[in-house]
Amino acid sequence: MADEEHQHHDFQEAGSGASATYPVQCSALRKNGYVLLKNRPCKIVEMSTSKTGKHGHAKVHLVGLDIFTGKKLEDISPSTHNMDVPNVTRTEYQLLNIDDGFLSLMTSDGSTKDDVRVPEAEIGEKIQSDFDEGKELLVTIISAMGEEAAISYKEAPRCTYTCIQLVDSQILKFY
Amino acid sequence: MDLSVVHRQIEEACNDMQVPATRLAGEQVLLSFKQASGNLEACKYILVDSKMCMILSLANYAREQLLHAISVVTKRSLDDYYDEEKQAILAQVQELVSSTGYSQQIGIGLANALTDEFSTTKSSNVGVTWNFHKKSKDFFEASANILLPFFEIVLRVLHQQLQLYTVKENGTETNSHRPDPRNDTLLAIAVALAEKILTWDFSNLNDTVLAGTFILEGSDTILPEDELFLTAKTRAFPPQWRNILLNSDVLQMFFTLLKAVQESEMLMHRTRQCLIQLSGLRVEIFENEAQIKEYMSIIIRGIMTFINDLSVDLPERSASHEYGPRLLGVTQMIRRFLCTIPLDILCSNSEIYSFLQEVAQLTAICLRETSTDKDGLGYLVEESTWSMEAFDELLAIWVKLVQDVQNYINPNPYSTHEIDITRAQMSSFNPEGIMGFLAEASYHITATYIDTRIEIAKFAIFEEDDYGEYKDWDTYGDQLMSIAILGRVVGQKTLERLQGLLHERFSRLKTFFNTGVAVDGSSIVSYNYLSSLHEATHWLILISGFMLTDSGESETLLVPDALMQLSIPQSNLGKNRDQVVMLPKIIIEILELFSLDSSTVEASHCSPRVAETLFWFLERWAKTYLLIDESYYSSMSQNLVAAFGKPTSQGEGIRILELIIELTKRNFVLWNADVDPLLQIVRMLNSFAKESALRNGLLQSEKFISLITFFTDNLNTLPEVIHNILIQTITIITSGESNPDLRLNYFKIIAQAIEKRLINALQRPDFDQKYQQADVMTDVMNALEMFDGLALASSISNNAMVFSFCAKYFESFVRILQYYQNCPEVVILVLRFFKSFVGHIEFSQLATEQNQLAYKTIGEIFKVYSEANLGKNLSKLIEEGNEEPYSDISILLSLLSELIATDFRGFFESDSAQDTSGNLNVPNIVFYGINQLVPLINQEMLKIPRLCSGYIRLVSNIIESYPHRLINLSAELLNSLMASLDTPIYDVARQGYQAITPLALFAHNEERKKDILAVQHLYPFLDKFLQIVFKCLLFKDFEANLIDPAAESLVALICARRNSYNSLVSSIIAQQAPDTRNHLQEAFYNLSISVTETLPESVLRPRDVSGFREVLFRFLMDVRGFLRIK
Repeated sequence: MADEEHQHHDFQEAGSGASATYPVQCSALRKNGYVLLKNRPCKIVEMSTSKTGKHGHAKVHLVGLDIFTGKKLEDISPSTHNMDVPNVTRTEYQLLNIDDGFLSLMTSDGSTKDDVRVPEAEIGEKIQSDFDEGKELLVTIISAMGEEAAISYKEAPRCTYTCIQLVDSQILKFY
Repeated sequence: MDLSVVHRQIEEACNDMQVPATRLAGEQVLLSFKQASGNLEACKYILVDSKMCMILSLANYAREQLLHAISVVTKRSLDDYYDEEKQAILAQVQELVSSTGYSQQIGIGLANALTDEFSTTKSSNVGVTWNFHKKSKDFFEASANILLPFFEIVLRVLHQQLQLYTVKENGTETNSHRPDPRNDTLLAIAVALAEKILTWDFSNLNDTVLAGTFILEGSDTILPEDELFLTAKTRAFPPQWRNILLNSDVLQMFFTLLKAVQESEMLMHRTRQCLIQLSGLRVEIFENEAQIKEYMSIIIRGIMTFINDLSVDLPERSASHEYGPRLLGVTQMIRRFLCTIPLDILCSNSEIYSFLQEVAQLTAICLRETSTDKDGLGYLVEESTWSMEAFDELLAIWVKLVQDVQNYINPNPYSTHEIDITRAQMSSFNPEGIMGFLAEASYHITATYIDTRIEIAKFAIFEEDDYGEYKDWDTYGDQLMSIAILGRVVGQKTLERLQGLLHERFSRLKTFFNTGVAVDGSSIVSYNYLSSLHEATHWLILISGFMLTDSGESETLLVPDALMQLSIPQSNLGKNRDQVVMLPKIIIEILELFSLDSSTVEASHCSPRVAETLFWFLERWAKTYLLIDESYYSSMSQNLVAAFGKPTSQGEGIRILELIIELTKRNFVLWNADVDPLLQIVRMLNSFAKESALRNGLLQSEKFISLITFFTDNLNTLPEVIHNILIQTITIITSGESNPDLRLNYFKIIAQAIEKRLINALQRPDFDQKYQQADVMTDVMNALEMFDGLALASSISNNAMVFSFCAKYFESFVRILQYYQNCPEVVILVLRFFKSFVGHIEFSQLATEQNQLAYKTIGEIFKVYSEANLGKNLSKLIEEGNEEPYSDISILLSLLSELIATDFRGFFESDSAQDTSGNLNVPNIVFYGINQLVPLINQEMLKIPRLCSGYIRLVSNIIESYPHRLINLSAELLNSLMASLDTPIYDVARQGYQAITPLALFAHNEERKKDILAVQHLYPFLDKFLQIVFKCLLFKDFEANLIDPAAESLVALICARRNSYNSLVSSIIAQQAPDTRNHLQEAFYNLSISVTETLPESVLRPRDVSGFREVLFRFLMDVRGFLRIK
């Protein structure tokens, strides 16, 4: 598989040596990036500046969604203040089994990891049914501040070429 | 049925309807009443007897509905009668109105309903053809048929009702007997009708040719009232209307009426609208000088009375909510009057000067009122916005008058001339005299404006910052530009005033920063004191900016002539006493004062908004004045050259430019967390990049190199939105260096900074483990944004450098995409870089291997992206809150469109149908890319307008560019193309047509070559396209601007599918009513014979179809009139 080499790690490795959070000046935060709001790791979905009066200094209004619960959290901070940004890791694992509401995943060193729950709602049901159909699945686990959850999955590509509908024959020479 | 019981029940039910809790019960009672037998009799009883408000309005409603029905029937049956018989409509109304009481009300109500029904905008949807609507309207408004007599009738009724409200001179009638106009239904209908008639849109006088056919769905177009407001012109009336419109009693009556209906807001509003129309009658309607003079006198006197009334009522104004609308109404009348009648004709009236004097006073009053703190709590009440709007109306008049006289004195071939020279010479028109008057008025208004802005500034502390992206220079741009036009008439005095006031603010700020005390000695400086000081400074700089320079993009802006002429004679006084020099100098001094170290206490007192405004000023001012090019001017001020000129002219321009560089750096540090001032500074630098003198000035300065290093070193601490535009800007500036060695040197500084960041991250030994760690990711993302900025800045002068540098990292970019495939925030940056790269690099200037490398990399990007995303199921958790869903796919779609464009750019001929070298080329990559993307896009996603538009644009680009490769075009693509034609989104529809044309052309030509096998799979699609195009052209609302692309598509489709076209035409004809078939057949015949047998082989140019386009247009004008039904 073309992208195999970058899967040689798991959460523990990525987390080792890295602090859970990292300070960033509020104005330098990125939309669609992450930030700690009310001590929860959030994805920033809205970032707007406002001023106290026409000649005041900028304040940043942040709206984030808790990456594990989806709960909306907000905060307002002077643009010059530092905010904590969580170290967020997203890792793809092969799904081996689903057991008693937990995913059984294969780590890159071949051992298993059985501590992530099957997610609630639609995606959880879809994983279950696709798994029951015997499909080989890759599940992406997001982790931050010691918490983990499955956020997406796809069927493992068996062969890179099969799913590409090729029309122009010349391109084949190249790939 | 006991009528009185039913009556009581219904009234109770009506009461219940008003209360949410009992609404349902009330509704039930009414609904069951609707089913009850004998309810008609009961209705009659209730409507006659009830005094209840809701029932009374029900009665009004019932009457209106009945009159509406009569009007519809009348209009529909119009064709069944001879013209003489049609006059019965008028006779009927006349008879009703000439009686008394309720019949009169019915008569005027009927006239009102008929006027609506016969108008373009309010006619009902009753299933008749557009032609019928048009014919009816023409009949209705023609000569003395209906509309003009209706106007006479309504005038009589108004006159009759007016008697009830005017106090008789002899005092026999007292106010106590005066009825309340609010209860006068007859008057209400009559005033409404008068307004409708005065704003009537006469077909022949005000039409544009196309409009008639296509604005059939009146509700979708601009209402005539709004249009009148926008153009600020009264519509033209036919000459038959002269006698009645110019009748002095008629004009006078409307002025009297307005005074008589003071109690009713609605009646006042409508009467005012009538007067606004009447104040701007066009000169064409007057037959002779006497008529126009009499008209002017009446209008002037009428308006003067209103102006006086406004000031008389001053004390009790706060009690009257009507003041604002009244003020605005008067100013609109004045504007209509003064801007319609040419100035030389106005000046023939002896009262005009005193009138203009009054208007000037009123202008100042409006201004002062905008700053009056009405409720004493610091909030400018609603009324001030009325005053501001009224002021804008009046300001527009002054600007027009000044420009008219200026154009008369110095005729300018590029501007319109309102004053007819021969006419003016024949009269006693004295341009110098009026200009002297206008100069005085201009100064009065400009000075009051400046004072008012400072006065309003005192309330700045109460102002919420809810402007968002709108800056004062945009919001008030028109106003400021107008003030500048007036201010330059009296340039010296205006500049002196601005300079003096700015100097005063400068001293106050300086005292405050040095000592911490306010000028008045109070040591506790309130936030209020500072914020009003900032706000006043902000406005003085804004006004100065507009005064000193004209606005405009991408053109060479010259010093305004008035200011140049002001400065030239002052050369003997020296530059330090020349206001055109002094004003910008004090502004730069203010910037220096504000450019503080961010660690100081004073820095916290600085205003980011003032900083932004200062750099806005510098951007605008420097373009025109700094390092001024003397060769652009026929005469030049020595003071301007000495103060701001080039070193070669012994000017001090470079010193100022270096100061600006220094201040730029200091402000970047000070405002590093505030996006607005930073963006403005970058905008300023960007505008410098476009001016060769300024750009070279920067490049020659040592300080500029250190500024660049400063930017690249500190980029990560700056807000995200600054990153790529900052790199873009400095790359553009440095690429302008004419010495290639120096240019390369500059480029290296930037490139190394980017490289350092990327290598820092990618070459970490533990990258595999740490690539998702926040600091590593930040480095990667910053580097990608810098690459994006570099790509955006690529141009002929740096193409090769940018390419080679970026190409070094192509492999890394693919790797980054693989590593971060689950981190959309990184993915998007990689894709965005490639889109910018493809969009800006000149591939035609690169060597074959370089192109090959780029194509290969783009192909890999699509491959990696598709592998990572195909069949991916996302949790709702991460989809939520995404404002721009699928922006990655959107970027990839436009990347491919950009890539197609490169194929046709420059002299590079890459259409490699015969390319046997085995090399990759653009179409290879485009088809590969689109086939990777198609499985990732579903119908649901195409409902997002941005995505849909990008997709259709790409599909149409592909078909247009590579028709010979379309053999295997998938049905999915063609189906989505079909949907695009019928969309209300203009761009998508246009692209749809642009795509079909080459497709049909291709089919047409292949068939001529007898190569039917190659194209026959396209036939069903082409037939379907033909059907859709005709459906849109004939039976739907059609955007007139689409006729051109639609004509091209249609002619190509007809040529490609002639048999299908013929049978389609037959079926369209067969579907019509028998009486229109012949007409339609003939129209189609004319259309068909205009289609040529063959079309050009490759591209359809506009001139190939210009003949057909004309025929099609006439065809549509003809047949849509009876095919379009409303």
